[in-house]
Amino acid sequence: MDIFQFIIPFSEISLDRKSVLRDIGYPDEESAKDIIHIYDIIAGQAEKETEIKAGFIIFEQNVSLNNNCLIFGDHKFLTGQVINNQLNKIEVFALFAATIGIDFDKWSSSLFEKDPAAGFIADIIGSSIVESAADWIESKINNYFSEKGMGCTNRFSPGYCGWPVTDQKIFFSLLPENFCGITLTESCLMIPKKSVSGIIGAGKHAIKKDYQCKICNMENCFKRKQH
Amino acid sequence: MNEILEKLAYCIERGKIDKNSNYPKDLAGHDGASELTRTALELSIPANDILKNALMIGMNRIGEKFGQGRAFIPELLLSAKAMNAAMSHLKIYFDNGEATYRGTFIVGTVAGDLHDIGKNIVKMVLEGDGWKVIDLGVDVKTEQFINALNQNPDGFIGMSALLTTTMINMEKIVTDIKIIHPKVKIFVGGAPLSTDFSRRIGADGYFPDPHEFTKYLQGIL
Repeated sequence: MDIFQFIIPFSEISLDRKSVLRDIGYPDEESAKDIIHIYDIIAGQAEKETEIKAGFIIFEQNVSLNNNCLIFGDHKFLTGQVINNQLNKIEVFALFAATIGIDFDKWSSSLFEKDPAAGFIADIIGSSIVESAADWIESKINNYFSEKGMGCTNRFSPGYCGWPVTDQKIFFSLLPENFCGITLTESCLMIPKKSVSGIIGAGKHAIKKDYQCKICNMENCFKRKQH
Repeated sequence: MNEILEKLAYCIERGKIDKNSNYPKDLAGHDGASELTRTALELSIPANDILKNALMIGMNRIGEKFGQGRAFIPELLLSAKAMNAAMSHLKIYFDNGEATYRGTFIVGTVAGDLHDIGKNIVKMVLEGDGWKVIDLGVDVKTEQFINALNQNPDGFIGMSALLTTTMINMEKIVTDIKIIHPKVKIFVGGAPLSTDFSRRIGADGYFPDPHEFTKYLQGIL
């Protein structure tokens, strides 16, 4: 089983002001003109509050998709129909995790106490940074499989697209302890809070399809906002 | 409206906290909500008039803008912060009964969940709308809600969850609270929740944004 862990330099993270403002709800920069200077200050401070880590593990056991589950070895993920439709041509898969570190959680919380608007913007910036870290590790995984002549699926996370977040317990039991500095609470919350975990399938005929937001029932999902 | 109260309402609407605050840029160097509230009190304007005829007017205006998509959460929070700065001067009048809150709200993130940003936003907006808010923090157990309610029997409860694993705890928490306090109104919030979920667990409402929530509360009082 191949295990990879990386520290991602902030310079390799994409933090796009327009995109963060859109995530907050602003249709364009003009409508956010009064708060742009707050964004710029917070975004400028964010780098020193982050310690961005990501990693992945390759699973090359026989994989089967039955009854809306992903089954491999003695393990079973309740991935559901939506995700299984996307994984249907995979032969192997990678589990990945990414985080921006516990200091960011502490910083954004204390900022909210002093200046709620700045704290809120910091929180959205943190979400954007961790998604960029997930993009970064997804790209590494794509390259890994590409070198083996395999294509990759989209990435899917417990808690989204019908995959119960409770499967995080199985997910994290398959990773080395404290993988990338991430731990799981009893209620399946990742600590640090700005962390992402997920699966990417791969195979000779595996392809990346768009997210199927219209058939998912999670109305407030960030993917729905992006697509 | 009295000129000072109109200026104060405008500061709340624009999120101008005090003279030193740099936001919004076009009001830099001007008195903010803090100074104007102090001036209003020096002019013997009753605290309740300041609250109802300036602070709440300003919060309603920013709330309307939010509802119309002309303002967003940061502007709402800046207005709420300006409101808090003004309220700090009125606290003694609330303590001695000269001014009154709309009511008491007990808020907390449910047991097992540590997400607090949504709960904190609701807290600030409720305070801005003239509510006394008791914040129980995160990872709040049923007993903590019940204890707070025992001390504030006319209070409302707002609970939040961001995880599907913790939102399912809400049903038991709501049931257990309502066994002891059957008349209490309990509202729920958080990304994975819905109106349907709120009904199913016996809560009294789900609101996706704080402005809709305060408007609803004003309607039921």
